[in-house]
Amino acid sequence: MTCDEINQQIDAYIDHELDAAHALDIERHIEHCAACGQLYQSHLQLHNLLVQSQLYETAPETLRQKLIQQTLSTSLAKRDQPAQSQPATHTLWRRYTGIAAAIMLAAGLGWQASEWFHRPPSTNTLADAAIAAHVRSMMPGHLTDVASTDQHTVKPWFGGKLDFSPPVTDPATSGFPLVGGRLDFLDGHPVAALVYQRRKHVINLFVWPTEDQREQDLVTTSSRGFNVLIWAQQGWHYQAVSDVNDAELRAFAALIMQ
Amino acid sequence: MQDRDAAERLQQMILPHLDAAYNLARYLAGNEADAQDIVQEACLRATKFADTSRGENPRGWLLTIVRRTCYTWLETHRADSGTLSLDELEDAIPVAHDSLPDAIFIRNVNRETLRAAIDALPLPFREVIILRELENLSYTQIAQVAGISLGTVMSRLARARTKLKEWLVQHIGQENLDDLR
Repeated sequence: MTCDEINQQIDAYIDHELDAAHALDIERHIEHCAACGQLYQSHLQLHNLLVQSQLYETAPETLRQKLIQQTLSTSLAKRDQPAQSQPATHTLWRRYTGIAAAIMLAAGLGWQASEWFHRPPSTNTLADAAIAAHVRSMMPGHLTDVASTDQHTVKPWFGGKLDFSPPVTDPATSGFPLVGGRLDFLDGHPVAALVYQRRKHVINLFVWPTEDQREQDLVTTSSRGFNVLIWAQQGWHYQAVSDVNDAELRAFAALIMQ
Repeated sequence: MQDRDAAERLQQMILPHLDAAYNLARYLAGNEADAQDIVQEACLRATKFADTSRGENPRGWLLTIVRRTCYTWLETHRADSGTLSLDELEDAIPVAHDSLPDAIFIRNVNRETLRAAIDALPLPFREVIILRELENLSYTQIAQVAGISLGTVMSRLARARTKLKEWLVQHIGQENLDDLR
């Protein structure tokens, strides 16, 4: 291979886009050609720098909320409303932009909002219920009843409100800080919701006691863009719900299980 | 029925890839506020026209829409949208490879400097760097999102990395560079 050809293909080689035969040709060339070897090292270093420097910009939570509200409002505007009120809704939406509108709509819609994202379950699975609870908690003002990053504040807060005191850990040093706690209901019974954060994503960890002392292995479900992990350990039933990817949610669960 | 579809589309096809959408918009537009506006508009289109996805990779599909929305938005809102002349873009004449930056290695560089280097890239180079290095797309996927040929992806990425290296060597203090010449 000529050095010109190497120049053109070295990046594809770095990105593993070449077939084995081509890759081998390049490897042989750069072993013996100082200039091309340097080019390879230079671009490889840059590639590694870019990948490792945490340059990824994750979406702000407010954007996520705006999109949900945006979808709801355009959907509702189409619904069969009397002609008089429809312009009013439209004008209201245009006049207040951004978060103000989102809060107003959320306050007005409340439970109604969650119905859009909670398809009436044909099977009342725990995962569906957890996802519905998770989505409800994402409405402004609904995330925590006690907002504290201190596990020694959150844990006792549940006392007197629930007839159990859930185990609370804070894997903040691993990138999953505790945000707070909340009372919630799953499957008709009260549960503790421990709220964690992963970058800009929310993880709801639902905890309640179970009389079954056996360890229950991690069960994973994915539905409507959310991942749910279910397990039981030492007399506690856990369900973790989030829109972070499966690997990260598993990492979170591993930290909780310690 | 249509209302439920929009909500379903948002939940199934858009929200799981919101970070990817925002990341691309953020780097093409250059700031958070504009990126949010662009993503909102792109998602509005995406929820209406989800039939165009035809089951293909939903992340790639959304990124294609976001990218197009970015360029339309930039044309409307900014005079100089960082587009290049055809000569600058095309590799009809192979760039005489200047080995100078390649002989210099970066010992130390912070995130802000890297970001500034990326922001200094003209858009056609910036987007291939973002899609390859941050979004980890294959060359084929980049070609689909950007609407260019595979060969163009290869050459554009190679030039983008070279340009980045040149910019960094010029803007990083000597103490953070190892000159191997």
